[in-house]
Amino acid sequence: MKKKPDLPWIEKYRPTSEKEIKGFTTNIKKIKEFLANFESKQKSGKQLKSPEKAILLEGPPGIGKTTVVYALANDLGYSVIEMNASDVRTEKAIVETLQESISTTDLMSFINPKKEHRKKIILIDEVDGISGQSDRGGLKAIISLIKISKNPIIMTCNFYSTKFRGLYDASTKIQCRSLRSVTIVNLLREIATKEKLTVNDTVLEAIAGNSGGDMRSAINDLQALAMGVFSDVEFLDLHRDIQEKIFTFLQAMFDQKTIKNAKDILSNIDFDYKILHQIIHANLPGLVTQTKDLHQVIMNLVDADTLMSRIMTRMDFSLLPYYFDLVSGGVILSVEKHTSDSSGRFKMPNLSSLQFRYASDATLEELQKYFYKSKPEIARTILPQIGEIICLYNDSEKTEKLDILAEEFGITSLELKKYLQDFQN
Amino acid sequence: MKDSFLLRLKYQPKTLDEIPGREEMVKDLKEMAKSNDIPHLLFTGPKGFGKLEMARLFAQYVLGEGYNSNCKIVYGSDPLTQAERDETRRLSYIPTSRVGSTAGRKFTWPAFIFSRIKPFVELKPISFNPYKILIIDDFHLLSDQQQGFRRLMERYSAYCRMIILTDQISSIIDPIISRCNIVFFNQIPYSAFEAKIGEVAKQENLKLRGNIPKTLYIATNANLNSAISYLQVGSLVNPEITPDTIYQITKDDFQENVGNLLRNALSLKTNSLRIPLSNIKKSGRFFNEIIEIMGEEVYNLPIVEIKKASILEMLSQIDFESVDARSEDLLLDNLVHNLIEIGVKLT
Ligand SMILES: Nc1ncnc2c1ncn2[C@@H]1O[C@H](COP(=O)(O)OP(=O)(O)OP(=O)(O)O)[C@@H](O)[C@H]1O
Ligand SMILES: [Mg+2]
Repeated sequence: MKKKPDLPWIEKYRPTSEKEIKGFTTNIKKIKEFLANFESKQKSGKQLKSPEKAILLEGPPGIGKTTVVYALANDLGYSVIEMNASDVRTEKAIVETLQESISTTDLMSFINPKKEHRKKIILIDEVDGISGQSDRGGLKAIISLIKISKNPIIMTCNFYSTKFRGLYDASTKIQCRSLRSVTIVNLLREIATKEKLTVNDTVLEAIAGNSGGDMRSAINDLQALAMGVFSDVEFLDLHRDIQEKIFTFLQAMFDQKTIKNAKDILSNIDFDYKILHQIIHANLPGLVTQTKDLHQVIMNLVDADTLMSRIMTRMDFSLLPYYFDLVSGGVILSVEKHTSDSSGRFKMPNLSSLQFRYASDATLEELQKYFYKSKPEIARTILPQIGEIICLYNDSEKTEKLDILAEEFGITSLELKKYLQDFQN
Repeated sequence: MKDSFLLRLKYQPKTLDEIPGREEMVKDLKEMAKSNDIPHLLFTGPKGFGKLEMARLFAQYVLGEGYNSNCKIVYGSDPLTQAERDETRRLSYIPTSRVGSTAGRKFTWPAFIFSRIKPFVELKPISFNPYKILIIDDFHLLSDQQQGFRRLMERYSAYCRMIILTDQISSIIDPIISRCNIVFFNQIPYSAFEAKIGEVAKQENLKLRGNIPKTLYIATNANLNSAISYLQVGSLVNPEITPDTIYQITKDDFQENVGNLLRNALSLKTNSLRIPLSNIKKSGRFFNEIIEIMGEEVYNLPIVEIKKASILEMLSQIDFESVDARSEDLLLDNLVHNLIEIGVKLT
């Protein structure tokens, strides 16, 4: 596997060959069959019908749809002409980008001169994006391109949508399922080894379970863990050196006398800035002792919190500099004296009561279909209620009831248990 | 379908007609549905009065078999998921390949509308329904994104009707109110509540002693779903449910803890804050509930009225500022420090 520094792990470890792809086996088989069929029919001069010329990989994010196309192309000697639906979304643009390459068997030599006689796969990624609001024509363009194409076309999309009806007729659909937990754990373990990261299997399993079968988010979580970014930290034991790193960083920041310097220190951090104010808050007792100072700092942090929430809900990143001003300058200027000799231990902010817990939560979404409450409400009122009921059964019945409930809601008992843990003890 | 193991789900009304105590409202809504052209609706009334239940069963009544594909429920209090954020960010960029003055520019979309509302309202209804129904719970939480609905409600009204739910009608902006027909929710009458509890008890062979329906009616503020859930818990605690059983399981020391926090902070007993604080955190209540209860406790403080007023002023200020904040630990800490500050002035 080729490694370049500074790539996010999801890119760094993106498989470049079929054998590096985890799981996904039946899908790979179908894609290979599709390519083989295309080639043999074309060679023997047989007429290909639309559904034989294009396949549509439909499935949730982060399971290898885009990856598999490149990996197979690499293994089988194709070059890939990609059209990414998020960049180009109008009919005209689609036609311009693809028409030339699609109707002739060897063109696009300007892209890859040496490989000019290679076979080609046309990849139309994220078809979902094409049929967006005003660009209805985009879909039409693709359908007609399938008709005239002399190259195999592979498309990907996330969700079934009635907008794709036309596409379904013109292509063969492959339904890709989310990956199994064990599959994800396997890859995570490999990556951890390569990164010289010591994490035990329970943590990996927790990450995998949490990802809902999305390899991308699992890898991201692992990297986050390694960097000190916390996605769902309650049950993840942070690495000791990272804790120390953060604590040292906080002390260094408090040593600064000017806003500028404090902010400069901040620009060197490599952990998730979204919860910086919460990290500072959790560690205040070890750093600031005077009540008066403490109050000032907290007021600044509340402002920072509000600001961050606005940034996140409105996606207004132009506000980000102010956030950094508040958590750096706003904080240090409020403190007359801080304790730097502190033998203090790094403390994790308590994120369990926060939006982070719900944010990516497929389980809560599942429960929502039954209880009709918002996710925070389900976490705060419904789950405790269920926990109470379960706990009133004796030990031998508990597991049975848990299973009954999990089955009723279409989630695994393990998942449900994770939520009910608080009530078990 | 198999009965749920949870009684609250098992006895959840499945159709409009099964909703206890709202016969009048149901009749009116059905009348409205006859015209085959319902207006946008706004349901308002306190939490737990069954607004969402009414809304979704009404949608089900109107859409029939099309309900699953043509009705969507969104929750104003659901935080955006990572995927929704990414999606918004990704689409906020207008590529340079586009011509016109917007090419290459970044836009700020109201993320909620963009990721949750638009994709639904833009699609024409599937199958034979003339329109879709979008139900938005806790609409007031959308604060200034409410503006974005003005256009949506008009532009897509040809095939999408909205039912907006809120327990704070004063926070709904006027242009939205003017686009909706308002339906007010009151507490359901005791007789209907009592009848339903009786029915559940009979079906489940529960032994009730004393006036359980009344106890539940008061304890849950007439919320049948919670009441039925308490019945289930009660029956497991005690084979024969008495009012005492109900008191025991609905007992809530939240108010007591909030009161202790208030008094200890004001009297600068900083060492005695830890216990009420951790109990409050454990209770899992929302920050605004803490403020609300604390406000009630202020009246009982043994201090002169004018000082109470200054505390209340501080609370309202904090409440106001907390609307957009996310970290409740931080808010709580801030509250305590504000109380201590007032406490210092008091002594
Ligand atoms: N089956 C897999 N085996 C190994 N790595 C995988 C697998 N699936 C995903 N990954 C990792 O996740 C990353 C993202 O995968 P990919 O881009 O193929 O997702 P996708 O299915 O196309 O998702 P989307 O629909 O969101 O584009 C890859 O770079 C790779 O690191
Ligand atoms: Mg992809």
